[in-house]
Amino acid sequence: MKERSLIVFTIFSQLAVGMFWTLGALYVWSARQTGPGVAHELTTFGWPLIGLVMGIGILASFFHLGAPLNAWRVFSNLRQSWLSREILFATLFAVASITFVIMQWLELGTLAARGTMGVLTGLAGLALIYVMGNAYRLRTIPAWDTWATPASFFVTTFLLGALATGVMLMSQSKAPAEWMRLVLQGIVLWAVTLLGIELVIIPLWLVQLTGSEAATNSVARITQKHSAIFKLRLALTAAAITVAGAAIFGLWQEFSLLVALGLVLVSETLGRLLFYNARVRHGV
Amino acid sequence: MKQYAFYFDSSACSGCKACQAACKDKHNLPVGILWRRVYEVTGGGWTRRGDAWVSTVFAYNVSLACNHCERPICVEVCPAGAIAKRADGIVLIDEAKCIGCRYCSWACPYGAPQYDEQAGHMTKCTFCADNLDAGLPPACVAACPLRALDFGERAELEARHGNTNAVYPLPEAELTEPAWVLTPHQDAARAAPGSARVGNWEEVASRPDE
Repeated sequence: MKERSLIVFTIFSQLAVGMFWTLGALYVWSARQTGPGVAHELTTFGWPLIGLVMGIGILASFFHLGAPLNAWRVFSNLRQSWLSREILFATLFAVASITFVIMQWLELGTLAARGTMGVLTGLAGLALIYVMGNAYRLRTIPAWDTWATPASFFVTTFLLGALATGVMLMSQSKAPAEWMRLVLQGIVLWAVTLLGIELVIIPLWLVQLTGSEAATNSVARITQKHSAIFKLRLALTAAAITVAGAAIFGLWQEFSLLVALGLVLVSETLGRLLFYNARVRHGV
Repeated sequence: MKQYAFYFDSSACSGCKACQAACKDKHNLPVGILWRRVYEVTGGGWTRRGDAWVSTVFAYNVSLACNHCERPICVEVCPAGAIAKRADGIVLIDEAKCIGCRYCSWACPYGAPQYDEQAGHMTKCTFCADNLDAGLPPACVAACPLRALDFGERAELEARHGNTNAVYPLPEAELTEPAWVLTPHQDAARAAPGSARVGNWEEVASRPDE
């Protein structure tokens, strides 16, 4: 599997953007409930991890290059290449999130300035996921050139981000119990919804792959050649829904989020593996 | 604008692969890299007609290098700006600029850009631009013993041979507008996905699902 480093890059950068948005939403919601001081205290722990996750993703992407010393040239074709744009936005998001972390930790600037920086970082993150989706929408690869590519990238982003943030929050002993209960419930509900959307996107993606040899070969690769991985991916997604769903009803709450995150991480990695294996282009 | 193009007469090609070998030799290509490849297309079978079995077997060859497309997807997708189309239409990789991300090889429907593992960058057919500058034909054209390969300005080749530029197993020309002109083999009309296949994938350097 030549695309191992790209699997790490895409999953980690999506996780980082998802964590940023979940933590940001949590901050805004908490600030309204408890005031900015408490919101700051409850979410501060999470921001540096985002930079770390994004850093690992970017580092992994270098392992895909044959000539990494030339990597600085990737911005040379912003006018045409979605890959150039993807790396630009990955860099922008990484730099912006590190700047935002420093501002948050050291409480630099006014609340409004930090808020503006946060919004800009979040937007850079969303732009990164959009551009990443387009980078794979090559017109010569029918399995990738579909709405399902950016749609599934966005679902992965928010799904992993929500669950990872939930797990991080559970390690925060200073959070008020009622606040924690509401937050975790919201996160679990959101995650279950996204998992459900994912289970709709997958079959819709596959049924539209018709009309060319390349498209039908892609489907065969997923449903026949790699059918075991495909079935495992679906089973893990269903298991994650069950485990997270159990948490909504108060069952096995302390571990369910962690287990759901583990299941989703494996399932998303397998999904990305299948995505790269579906790369069958028109022609020779 | 000038646009160099290859001409290939599939009806004349015997599949000797002198073009493939001449290209590999001239450019000293490493093992596993073939800038020009000869695809052996086979199809048909045996059908019963009364008490007799009738053969519908057919085979033809497609000699293919980079088509120096009018709308080259490799140029579009390359993030490093390492691939460019010259004023004469030839598409070239600047190996010093290439970052070796292989994105162009994913995108090209003709399998033209190929990765040199040793060098860490992409390589592809140069149309033997150095030969052209010296007033010589590309090595593959010069080597063809059956004169099945030729080159020239696309408009002139089309005027002489028509404007067919897609045949199985190649994709619809609309994808990249390839600058090549083709005389199809008489059996090419019978070839389509499901009724024909490339018989020598293990020999040619790239295949669409790798």
